[in-house]
Amino acid sequence: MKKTNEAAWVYKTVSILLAVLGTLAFITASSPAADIRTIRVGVYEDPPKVFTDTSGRPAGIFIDILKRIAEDRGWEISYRHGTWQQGLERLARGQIDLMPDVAYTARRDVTYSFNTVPVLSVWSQVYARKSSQIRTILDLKGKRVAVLEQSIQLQTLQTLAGGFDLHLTLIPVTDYETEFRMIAEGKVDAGVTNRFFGLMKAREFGLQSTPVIFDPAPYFFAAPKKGSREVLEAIDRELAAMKVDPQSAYYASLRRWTGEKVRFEIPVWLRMAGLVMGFSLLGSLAAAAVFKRKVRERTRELDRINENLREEERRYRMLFENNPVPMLIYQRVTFKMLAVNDAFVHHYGYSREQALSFVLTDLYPEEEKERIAKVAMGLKGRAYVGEWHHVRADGSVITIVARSHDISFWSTEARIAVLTDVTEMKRLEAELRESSERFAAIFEMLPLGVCITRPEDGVFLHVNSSFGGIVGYANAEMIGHTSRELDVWRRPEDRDAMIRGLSGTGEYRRELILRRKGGAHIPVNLCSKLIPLDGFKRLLVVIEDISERKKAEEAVRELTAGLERRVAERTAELAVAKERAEAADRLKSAFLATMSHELRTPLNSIIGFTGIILMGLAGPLNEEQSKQLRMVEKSANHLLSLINDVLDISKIEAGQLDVGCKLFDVRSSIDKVAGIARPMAEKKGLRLGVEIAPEIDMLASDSRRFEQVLLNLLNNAVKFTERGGVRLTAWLAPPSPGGSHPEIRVSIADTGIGIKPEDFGTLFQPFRQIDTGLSRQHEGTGLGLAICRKLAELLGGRIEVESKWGEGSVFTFSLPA
Amino acid sequence: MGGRKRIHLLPAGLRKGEIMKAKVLLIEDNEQNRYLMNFLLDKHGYAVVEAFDGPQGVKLAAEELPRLILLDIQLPTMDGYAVARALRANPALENIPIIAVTSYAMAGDREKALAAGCTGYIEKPINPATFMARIERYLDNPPTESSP
Repeated sequence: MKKTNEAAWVYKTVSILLAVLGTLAFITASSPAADIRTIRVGVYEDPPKVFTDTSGRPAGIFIDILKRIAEDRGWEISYRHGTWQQGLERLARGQIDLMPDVAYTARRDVTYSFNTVPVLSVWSQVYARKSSQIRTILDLKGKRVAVLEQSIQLQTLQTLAGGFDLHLTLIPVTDYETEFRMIAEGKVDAGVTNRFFGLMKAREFGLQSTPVIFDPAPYFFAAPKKGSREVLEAIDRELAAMKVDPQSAYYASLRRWTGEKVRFEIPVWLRMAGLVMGFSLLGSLAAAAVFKRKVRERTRELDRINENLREEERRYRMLFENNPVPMLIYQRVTFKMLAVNDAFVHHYGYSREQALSFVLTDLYPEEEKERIAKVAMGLKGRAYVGEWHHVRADGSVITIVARSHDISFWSTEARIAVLTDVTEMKRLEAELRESSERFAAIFEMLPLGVCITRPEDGVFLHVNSSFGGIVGYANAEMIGHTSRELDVWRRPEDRDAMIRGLSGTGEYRRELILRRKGGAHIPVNLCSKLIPLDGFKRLLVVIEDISERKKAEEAVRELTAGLERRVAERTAELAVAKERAEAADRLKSAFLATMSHELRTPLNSIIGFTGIILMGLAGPLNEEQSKQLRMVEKSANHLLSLINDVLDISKIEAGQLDVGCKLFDVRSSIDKVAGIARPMAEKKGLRLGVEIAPEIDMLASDSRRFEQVLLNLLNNAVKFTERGGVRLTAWLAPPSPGGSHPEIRVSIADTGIGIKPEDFGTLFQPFRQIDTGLSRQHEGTGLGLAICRKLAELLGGRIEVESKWGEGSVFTFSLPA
Repeated sequence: MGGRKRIHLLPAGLRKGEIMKAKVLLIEDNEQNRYLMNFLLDKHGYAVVEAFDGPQGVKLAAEELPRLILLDIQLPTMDGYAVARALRANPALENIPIIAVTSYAMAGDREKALAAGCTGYIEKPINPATFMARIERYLDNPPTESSP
């Protein structure tokens, strides 16, 4: 299976190459010969590319090619022997015109000019003694490694060593021979050469190639920068022509010095083998048997080299095919796709056939096609890294980073590109950026003061504008300064306390006072927390300005204190008022007692003497004297009852009136009261009817008060009635709604003046004898009904009234039986 | 007192000195009231001894040994309650009825008077028509039948 793939790959690649090369052959027709001139060429030892052969003459691939070109162009060539280093220096000074076998670098491009068609593309490889355990570049760590001075390998190895952090010791040497000798003699652990030299000389020095291989580098002819490009252009034209012709001196030289046969699989090998055989035959015919043996040895050596090369080639193809990163190879000039690896097929979704039918720009979206063409066109000879978009088979567009460099692919100038899909990374980056921007916006917009400081010393790293606003500094004044420098802490120990607090839970919360710029104090609610940020431990501090809240709290506190004070004052005032009221009440009682006494004393004389005189004890009286004295007596008695009523009502109101509770005969009480009222009724010509139900008998109550109420009501009825009569009815009633006892009811109905509806409300109030304009006709203290109602209530009963103005009234006195 | 001679009360001016009048001690500081009661008692055939204040009343009571004492409560220097207690403190006077005649008509005044040793309590102003009947209830042999 693998074999089939391999064959297919080779076949396809070869066919493509042939097609391209055929085309090129037409274009690059041979050029006319230039002027005859002498070209000074530097020679140094880097077999088989360039070296001095045993007879002391320059030889090698570059020399062969150059000789061929010189022949065509009619140039004379003079050689200057020296080391690689000396050659480069001579070239720089213009002491020679051409230096073969120089890899292109940007730095060298400053000093030298290069031809554009690479002569050889050679991999660099690490060689070591056979016993060495060097398998990867990492095994070079700490080793002494010999490298050609000022070579491209030296630069590459330095870069690689830096990238892998290897700390190896690089020993510059003048040529590869010296290098191999030093490795063989154990002066260094390993050395770097190009693959050509290694293949040819490793065995001779008893060395072995290691799997450590670097990027292939194209090698060119170099000329002084100041000189004309004529020679280089001529070389390019000749080279291009030679490279498309398998029979050219170019391939002949390659065959001669390396036995290279990977370029043109079977035919080349057969031709070369034939050539070797031809040589052998010719040698065997013309020379001695010794010579024959030498040829055989040479043949075997070439076979071995070929085998090695095949092995190498397989290895590199595996490296390409099985690489997990998408890779492609395209023809540098035509952009034609030459090869893609499995990872590419898998990742892009194109079949291999599809991919190989593409040109490079087909992978790019419309808007990038023109630009990538321009960029790719100018890439020759240099490595490139760039970010682009690719369109996959399903139409999706991905962002990739392409790394490419020149590569000779089946002797075609090609570029190999390694494609890294960074779409997801880009998206994440964008998300991260967006998220950072969002957080930055939030950070800045927060009404809370937020800062990030270094926990060791309190240097402000980030602050938002609210933070600055709270502490009174501009952000620029704070960044880079410590909180102590700015004197933000009112007490330095507050920060110490925070740091101590953080060492526990990593969080700290407290209300404290900070000092604003200018010295004013500001209360804040501070929260801080240790957070990891960009790989460092940082202190996040959030502060909230709570001065308004504090003010409000203070106001509430003051208000509360004020209220408490006022309550206390009011309580004290009330206590005083109560004391005053009680004192006034005591004074009233004392006043009433005194008034009662002081009024009774003169009344005693008035009533007493009036009575004595009216009794005739002081002598006989005439009619008129008796009449007038009776008026005095009446007035004195009225005054006395007024005094008694006032005393009664104030006793009731003061709760000083005690009522007794003894059994008494209701019927006889009623008779007694009726007896007292009857003379007055008869005097007015009124009927006084009394009707007592048979079930009325004994009652437990205060008989004196009971009689007082009845007498009062009866006297009233008689007083306010001019015609008709007064009827007293007593009966036993079932319990009133809500009550549990039956009731004794005594109603006193008259045919008197009645009561107006609007007067019902004030009927039972003291000193409210209804003012009808008739008050003078109806004497009374105005306290009677008030006393009656209060007494009735004291006895557990009530007084109700019904009346019709002008027709009469009914007062009903009820008591629980 | 069962061994005491019967006294016949006669209208004033009749057969003077022939009959021993019943003696009443009147302790009253108010002149009008003193005169009023003296007049009434005299008209009803009683002999009246007057005292103007408490100490004098206590002294006269011991000297005269009256049949009845009428005692005002509001008196200068020594009030009626103190006088009642002082009278009751004398064993010789213990059976003499003491009637408080007072204008103290507030709740509790009656009880205070009785507690101090008074036998009866009459509120001022007195009613001349019933006054004599009320005080004679306290006498063994009141001259009620013969009063007008």
